[in-house]
Parts: sequence; C-alpha cells; structure tokens
Amino acid sequence: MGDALVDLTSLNLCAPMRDSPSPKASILLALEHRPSAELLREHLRRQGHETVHVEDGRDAHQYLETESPGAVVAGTRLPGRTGRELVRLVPPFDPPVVLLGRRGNDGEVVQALEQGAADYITRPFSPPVAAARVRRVLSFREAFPHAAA
Amino acid sequence: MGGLTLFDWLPRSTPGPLLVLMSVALAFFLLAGIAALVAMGIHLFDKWLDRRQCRERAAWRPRLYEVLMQEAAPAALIDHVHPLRFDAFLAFLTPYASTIEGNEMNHLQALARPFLPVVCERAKAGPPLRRTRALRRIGLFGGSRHVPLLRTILQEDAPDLVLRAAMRELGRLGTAADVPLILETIDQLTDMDRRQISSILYELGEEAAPVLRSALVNEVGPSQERSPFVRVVCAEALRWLGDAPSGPTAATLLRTNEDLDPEVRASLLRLLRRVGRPHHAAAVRPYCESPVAFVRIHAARALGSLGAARDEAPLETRLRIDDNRWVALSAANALAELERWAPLHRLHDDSHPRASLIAGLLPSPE
Repeated sequence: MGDALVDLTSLNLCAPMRDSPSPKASILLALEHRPSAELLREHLRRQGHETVHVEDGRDAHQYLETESPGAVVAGTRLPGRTGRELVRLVPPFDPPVVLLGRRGNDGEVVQALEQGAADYITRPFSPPVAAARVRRVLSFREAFPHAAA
Repeated sequence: MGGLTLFDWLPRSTPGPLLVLMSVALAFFLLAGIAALVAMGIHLFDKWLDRRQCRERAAWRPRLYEVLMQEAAPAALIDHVHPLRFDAFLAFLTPYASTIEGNEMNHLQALARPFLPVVCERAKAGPPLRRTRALRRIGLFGGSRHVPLLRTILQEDAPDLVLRAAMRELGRLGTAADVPLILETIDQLTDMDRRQISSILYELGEEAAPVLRSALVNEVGPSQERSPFVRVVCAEALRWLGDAPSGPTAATLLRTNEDLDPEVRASLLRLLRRVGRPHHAAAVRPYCESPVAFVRIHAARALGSLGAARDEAPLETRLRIDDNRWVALSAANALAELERWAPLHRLHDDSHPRASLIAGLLPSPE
C-alpha cells in the first residue's frame, strides 16, 4: 500500500492547473468509431495537440510500449484489445486513459472508473466538451506529474 | 445458300452432332466473353463511384468541421453539394449524427434541412427499403414538425419494414400522445422484437408511463382486448422506465387475473422485481409453484428482490427439487440476494447433485 501513496511533498499543490497544456502534449486516439476520432482529432489539433489515431487495440498497446503520449482516448469496443483492457495494461494514470463508449450502461461507466480510467465520455457527445475533458486530464497530469507513481 | 457459314472450313463429312456441339461451345464462349466484359464494366463503374465519393467526402469534411465549430455558416457547405448528390451528402452526415449532440447536432441538422422535403416525399411512397432509409434520415435530422408524417404512415397499410421504421422514429421524435397509435400498430406487424418495441416506448419518456399502465391493465375493454404481446412490451417499457406506480398495478393483476397469459405473467414478475415493494411479495409467491417453468424462474428472481425470511423454505425447495435447473439456479440466486445462506450451505455440505449450481454464490471464508 505504501508504494501506491503519492509523495505529497513532491507535488506543487499551490500551482494552478493550466488551462492550456503544453502544445507538445500528444494524444493517442485508439478509437474504432471513425467519426468520433475525426471530431476529437480536429478539436484537439486546433488546440495545438498532436494526435495519433489507431483503430485496433493491439496497435494502441504496441504504440504505448514505445511512445509516451500525454493521454489516451480509447474506445470501449476497440477490436484487438478493448479500452478497458488498455486501462488495465498501462500503469495507473501513466498515461491517463479516457474511455469513450456508447451511452446507456451506467454500470460499465462506474466499473471503468473504478478500474482506473481517468474519465469516461459517452457517445453521443459534444465534441468541444469531450475535447475539454481530455485536455483537463492532460492538465492534471502536467500539474501533478508524480501522481501516477 | 451460297454465303459462307461459320463451319465452312470443316470437311463436309463432319458429323451433325459434332457441329451442334461446336455451335453450343462457341455460344458459351461468346456469352462468357460478354459476361466478363459486363463484370469488368461494373467493377470499373464501382471504382469510379468510390473515387467520386472519396473526392466528394474529402471536399465536404473540412467544411463540415468549420460548420460544426461555427467557423462557417451551413451555406458554406450546402453550396458545395450538387442537388443530385443530396443522398450521398446525407449518407456522409449520418455517422456524425449518431456521434454528436447539443449545439453541434443543431448545426448538423441545419446542414440536412434543405434536403428534407425530398426525403419526406421518399418516405411517403416507393420501394420499402428506400422509404425505410428516408424515415431513418427524418428521425436523425428532422424534428417535431415531421411527427404528423410519421403518424400518417403508421395509419397506412404499409409494409412491415416501413411501419417498423416509422415506429422507431416516432419513438425518437414523438410524445407520450403517440403511445396508443404505436400500440395499435404493433398488432399489424407480423414480426417484431419485444425489446425493440419496448425501447421505442421507453424513448418516449416518463410521460408515457400512465398510458402504458392503462394498456397493461387492458383498460380498453374486452371488445378491443390488447394482445399479450402488447401487454408484455408495455410491462417491459415500464420496467426500463423504473415506473414505481406500476408496482401496485402489476401486483393487482397477478393477484386477480387467473387467466393471464404466461408471457404477461412473467413480464409482470420482472416488472415487480424492478419496481415492487416488499409487501408485493404476497402476489409473487404463488407463482413459484406455476406449471410454467419460465414463470417460476421470474417468480423466484422477484422473490430475491422482494422476499423475506419466510421465503427461505419455498426457495430451498425449488433449489433442491425443481425439475428445471434454471428455476433451481434462480432460487439459489434469490437466496443469495436475500442473504439466506443457511440453505445454500446445507446444499453444499450434503453434496447434493445441485451443489455445483451454487459454487460461485457462497461467500468465500474470511
């Protein structure tokens, strides 16, 4: 248990969370639903983020083994490895994984958040709101870089 | 007679049957050649259509993003759509319509609006598949102003496919006032999925609950009796809505109507499991002895949610001696839900043949 505790002294708790994360923060969009990926990519790109889109969970996992994106947005029905499998495979919040799935299954949302998903966006969604939630996760990670340890 | 024929080069002694055979072979060869040319033509045409669609979509996509982000007016994209290509344009917009909501959805609907009059015309007449597609687009891009059209189609003698599509879109765009029309239409259909209809009724929202309750108790009178299927879908929709006032209604129906269809009984038991109160358990208990296995299953499950200590013995009996393993499993789950562990431990310790059923139910020792 002790290992999982965050060293509070290493965090600058007084630092405000930045509204605009570093423009270099890249985001992996592991989404099987192409329109969702396109709309999120467009919004995030216009806010200065690089995005990489894959449509298969195995490709996403392979990418995460070699690259360190600022955040991952993963589909719950991703072929190969589902978004929830990715949440289990990556270290907690390193990078944070935001899940994107269909609306209508609150139980699944609760389970995913309990398993360690940073957020859960349900489809249909408002693209600017969804992009803002992804950026919020990025901001949090930048403000508390050791929180995932 | 003096003209050249195809087989003049053959000796005159060539047998007739051989000539016939060669003629047939030649005909097949020519037909195969023509078929190959046609197939190649169709393939090239398809590739050309694909390329054209890709080009069109590549041109529309950036403008769509601009419209959705309010960087351009809808006209900026609509002006780039050829009137004859509106079908392809609506097909392009369709996946986005099921992805977005809120303000962006309003912009998307504004993009489709100029083409909806033609879509409405297509929904009124024509081949069923084309009408169905038109109805789907009305549901996605239309609004309450299209509800009268959907109601008119439901009152027609339209094919099943069209009626189902109109019902689905009426569930999306209509109001609780449309429930009676939808229920009347159900009986016209030859094939309909229970869950599909229930979800249509559920989409009409909580306001639909009083009408659904009234249909469930068959208030229209014996002359226009609701079919069991209609009553089942009403019960399912009420269950999905979590409609608490349906609890007493379902309990009364179970207590007083002895000639209820088993499917209706099962749906009432499912409804009670979701919205019932402990005092409704009295209406459920007799059905644990029903001669119909699926009714016993749902009665046992309902007791798991509503039952009390006195239900331990009858549920244990079902678990041990019911000839249907699914009933036994439902009884075991009900006991676990009621946290009556003693019968489950007894079954386990006796090495009863059904002990394997409860393997995953017993709490692990601390």
